[in-house]
Amino acid sequence: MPPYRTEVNDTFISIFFEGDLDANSSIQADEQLSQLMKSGQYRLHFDFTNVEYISSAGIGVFLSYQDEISEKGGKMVFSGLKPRVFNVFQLLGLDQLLEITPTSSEALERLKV
Amino acid sequence: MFARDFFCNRESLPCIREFIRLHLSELEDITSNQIILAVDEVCANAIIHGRGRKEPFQLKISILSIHNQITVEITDTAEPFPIPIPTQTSAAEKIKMRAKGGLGLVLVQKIMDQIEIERLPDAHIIRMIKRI
Repeated sequence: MPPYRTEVNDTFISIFFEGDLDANSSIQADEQLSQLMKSGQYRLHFDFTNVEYISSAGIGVFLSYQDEISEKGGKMVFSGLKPRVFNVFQLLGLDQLLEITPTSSEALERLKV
Repeated sequence: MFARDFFCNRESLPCIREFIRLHLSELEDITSNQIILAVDEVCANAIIHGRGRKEPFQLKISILSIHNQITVEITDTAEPFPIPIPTQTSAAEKIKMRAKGGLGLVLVQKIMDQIEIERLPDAHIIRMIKRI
């Protein structure tokens, strides 16, 4: 599977995830996020509009970078989660710990400096 | 009851999810997804724990829907996994630890009403029940 599409803005990067983020496909997401961290990109928008499913392996990838992003003064914002995907975040209490917005435009507002 | 065998590897996970999804079509989307997720987490766990074994092995999954109760059985020959206590592995702690894993079985516990592990001489069965 190719890397997920990205869009570079002035102050942040949007990544457009798609399909299922499970124990298999989340390896790809992890590699892509790892590269962004190494290149010093700490303001990130994760567009989930086309994500159909997420498991703990997928969620774990994002959680593992949250602390480093905060430490570097960055921010990650999720948008466009389908109700069933958002429900998985809710089950883990992540709707209280992570920045999640209904729409992409709201996420972009939060990422503007 | 519907049952099917799957190769125990990561590439099987989408097929496992689809098998469960097909038999939960009468449920609302979020409930159906939760049961699919619980099965996916247990299977992913078995696959990860089984990586070191030389012999290829399979997961047998059966699903029974009766009297507003969904029962899923997963049979495999991997080492039984410990059931964690959810409060010991909260998501907030995982963030601080920068850990990638450890939340799957927390999800299983949150979703399912009953989880039983039956140990056999050469396999174990994980039986999960969800009351609708």
